[in-house]
Amino acid sequence: MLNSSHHTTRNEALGFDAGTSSEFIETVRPDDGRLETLWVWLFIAAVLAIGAIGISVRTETHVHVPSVELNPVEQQLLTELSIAIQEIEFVTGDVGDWPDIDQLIMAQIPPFTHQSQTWRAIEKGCYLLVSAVGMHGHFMLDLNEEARILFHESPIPMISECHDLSHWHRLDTLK
Amino acid sequence: MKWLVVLISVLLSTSSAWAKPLVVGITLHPYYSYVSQIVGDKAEILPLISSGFNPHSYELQPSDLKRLLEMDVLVLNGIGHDEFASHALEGLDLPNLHVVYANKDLPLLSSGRGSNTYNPHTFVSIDAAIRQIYTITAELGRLDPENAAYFQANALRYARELRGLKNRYQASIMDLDLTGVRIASTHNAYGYFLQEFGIGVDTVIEPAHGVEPNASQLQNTIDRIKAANIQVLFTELNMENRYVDVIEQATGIGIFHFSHMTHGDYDAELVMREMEHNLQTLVLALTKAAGG
Repeated sequence: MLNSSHHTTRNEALGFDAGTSSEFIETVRPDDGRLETLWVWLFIAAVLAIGAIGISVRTETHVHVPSVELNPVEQQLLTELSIAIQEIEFVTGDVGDWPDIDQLIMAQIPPFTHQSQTWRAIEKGCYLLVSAVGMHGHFMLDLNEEARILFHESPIPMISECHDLSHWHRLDTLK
Repeated sequence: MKWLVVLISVLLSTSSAWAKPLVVGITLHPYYSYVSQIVGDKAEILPLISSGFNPHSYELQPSDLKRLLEMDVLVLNGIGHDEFASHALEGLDLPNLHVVYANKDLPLLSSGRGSNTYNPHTFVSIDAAIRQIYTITAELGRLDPENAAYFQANALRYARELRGLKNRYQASIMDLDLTGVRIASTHNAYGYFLQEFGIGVDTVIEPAHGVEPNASQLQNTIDRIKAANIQVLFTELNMENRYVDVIEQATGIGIFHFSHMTHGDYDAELVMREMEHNLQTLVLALTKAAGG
């Protein structure tokens, strides 16, 4: 009652006729910065989204390279095998007619000449270190297609061919 | 008409003799020896920098850049010992220059300063040298196919000479009992060389090449040498290290000098000569340490 009286008085004071303008409503949004919060959150979200897209576009696929710990004797053998790959290629002319173990010894190509190591040719161009002093794993040199040096840490079953070597670590790509 | 056919056939048969030989650039002394032995008289060798400079701290000069422009090929150590050249190549556009990274096929040792840095002293080792000689030979053969077989024959001969040298001294070392022998070196240059004889380095003294340890580091080193009972210290020929004398007086350790192979004039025989010096030094040091 008090409000109604006050409202009438105020309209009258403003010059309105209370009897003819009873349904006029004007909505006025308060200018108190409430929307600014929304815009700031939207801006942050947009920046984060653009950043996420940029990171995903620039991300390179990481190939997990297995780490192999070699002792000094094995490290030296790895060096000798990397030399042997090139030396055999120079000697044979890279024609794919790979030498057998006796021919490698005749050509004086280490490590096949070492008396402390026994090598066996599993097939043409594929050589397995059967026994050696001071090593905890097995080495293999495969010259077929792409020359590669392989290492197997635990005891290996009898191998008769060089194709399925998926459980062996490839050492010539490790640095 | 007949004379024209004869003239053309003569020209074709001698075209290889007229072909301009490769100009092969090198950055360090051992690579001069390698390339000289591989190419014989079938290529010209052009050192990038004059002899007499320390490659560890060298900055490329304008006259060096002029030589770089004359080269068809540049053979690099590429893993930290010729950074003066690597850095220069990063900022230059030289589309006609073929760069050979001599160590690209060699299993490398860590520098001990993080996982992506390697010990660059691969040239102070016989097997690592042979691996680099073969890599250089294969690359030069691809660039000059007419002489590829000649390069390969030379590389095989040179590798066998180096291997023969090693085998002569290895026989002496294999007779020694080295189980109690402990070794230190002034800087990390001999890891590859000692590895090929199955020998490890127990401690390295210099924080970096040519950087002398400070007083507290030196005291720690002396304590470490005494505690680990290290008998042999390998240091560098042609480099005066005053602190080495202090270590010798404080510990009684035996001091022996290896060649770093990066001093003196460029010389095709340098590697063979200085490698033999290092092998003699190694046998002497180990014989004394083993009580022989």
